[in-house]
Amino acid sequence: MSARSAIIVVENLTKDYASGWLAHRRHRAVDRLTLEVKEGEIFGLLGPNGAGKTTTIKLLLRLIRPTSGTVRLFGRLPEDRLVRAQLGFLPEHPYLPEALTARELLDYFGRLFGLSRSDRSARVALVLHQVGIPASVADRPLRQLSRGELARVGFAQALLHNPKLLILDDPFGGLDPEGRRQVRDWLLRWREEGKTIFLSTPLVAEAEIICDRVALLHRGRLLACGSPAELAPPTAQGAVEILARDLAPQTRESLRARGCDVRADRTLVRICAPASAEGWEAVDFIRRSGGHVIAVNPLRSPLERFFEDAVTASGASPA
Amino acid sequence: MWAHFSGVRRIAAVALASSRELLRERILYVLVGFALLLIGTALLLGELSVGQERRIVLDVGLGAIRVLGIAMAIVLGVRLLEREIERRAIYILLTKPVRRWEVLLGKLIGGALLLFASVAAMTGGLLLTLAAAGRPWREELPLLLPVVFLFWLQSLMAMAIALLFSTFSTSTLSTLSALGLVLIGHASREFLQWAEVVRSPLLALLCRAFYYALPNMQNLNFTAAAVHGREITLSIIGMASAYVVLYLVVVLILAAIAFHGREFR
Repeated sequence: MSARSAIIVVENLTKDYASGWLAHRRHRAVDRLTLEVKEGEIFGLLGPNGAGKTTTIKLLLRLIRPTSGTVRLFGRLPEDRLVRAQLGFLPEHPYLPEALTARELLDYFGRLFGLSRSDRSARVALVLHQVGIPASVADRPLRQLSRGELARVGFAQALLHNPKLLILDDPFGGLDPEGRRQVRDWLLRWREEGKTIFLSTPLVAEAEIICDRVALLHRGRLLACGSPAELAPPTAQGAVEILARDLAPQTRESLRARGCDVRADRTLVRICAPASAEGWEAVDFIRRSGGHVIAVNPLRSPLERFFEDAVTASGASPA
Repeated sequence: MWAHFSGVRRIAAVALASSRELLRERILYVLVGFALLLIGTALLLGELSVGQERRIVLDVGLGAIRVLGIAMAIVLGVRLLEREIERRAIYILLTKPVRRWEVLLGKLIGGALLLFASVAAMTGGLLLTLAAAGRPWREELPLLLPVVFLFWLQSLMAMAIALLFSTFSTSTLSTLSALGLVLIGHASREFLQWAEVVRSPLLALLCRAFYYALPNMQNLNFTAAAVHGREITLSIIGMASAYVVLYLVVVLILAAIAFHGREFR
């Protein structure tokens, strides 16, 4: 198998922001970040709010200039128009010119990419269809669209020119579980089509499902980088939450004696087992005791546990 | 594909989108409507002053076109860019294969087209008012058209100044600064006169610098000529146009430098 080329190369990237009246105070948002993103992979930049994810993305796109360090996309500087022609960007909250309709906006951006009238018409119809925007919505001013519809238009504009690289800042932000599932499906499909995807998200468990490799960022510093399986093997099981009903008081007491945290309201009982092995034992026990299990959910994924451990080891508490 | 694609097309694309956006701004219709109302009011004032209808209608009408044209230029000029920056819509635009100065130029052209249409609509209102006052409006056309054309150039300067401020400042500050500069620009000749009378050479130099830096709005106001039936020659129009083009180029270069260096945190 031939080695895949690096699409994004970041070396010792640092960004300081000045603050105060005389700009005498310095805040380091990104600290000597070095990473590479290979062709055809989904790469996740993970970290809590304020970790430096959006700043890193703005540096990749040259919306801000680095204090030091270098960024290369496709081997070129980010501001190179040949680079821009091959990348699609979705910001954290896709603010779009609200007086235009989705179709007008996409046609406008299509012109900036030099697409002919027929190409624009075909591409606009295709991407609107791909992101599930019907014609009735596409012809309404963007100020009349719901948040979910605006997010879809945001994806449509990023995809319009069929870019090789997608840079997505928190693509799961503000979406309900169904919306997240749909975005996951899109990302996997676009990877199958050969696109390279660089995304940032605070949702570690979400990234663990779809990313080939992740980088963990905390307070601007890279804590770890690698595939989720390398960083946190699936055998490292996390805590489990069980939602149950019709549990007798003595069953709850028995579960507490097994080390579970049990909280009950009028209809539901929430049981937190420290690890999945104890969780499945608790599920069996509830069933044997005549209770009904409604749902079993992992509370923390292996990667989330790894991330928390890495933050603790670095001497800082998670934000 | 890229070989056939030029910056002109990108600038045209930005201009088209900008004029589309501005066309849907409610403030535009409010200002044009207000101007038409003022022009219509001139009819009533004209009737009150026997034998002075023409002078009153032209004075009030041209004044309304000039003042509201400039107000429109400043308000829309700031909206062209600053609102996009404040709402962070600019992030997406700047990641497209378009240069920052092309964005500025495209936006100014889009705004200029819309200003042209607005000035044309207000001029139409003035001609209708003249007709309603029983004046032969066709005869007034050769006098009026050069004057409103120069008003349009005036408002273009105001729009470019507003755009320049919005590349590095907030919308409120940009509006106030542009308005201030345009107002002082109506008295820019005073600086030249002060330069003649002050004793300090440094102060004289400063006065001259102000004179050349400020937009010379007086040079583009020929209301009195139109009212008194004096023709505005082609050479005057040509000189005034050349001055405005030169001023726009300088302002756009400054705006491009400021916008190029701007970081979007």
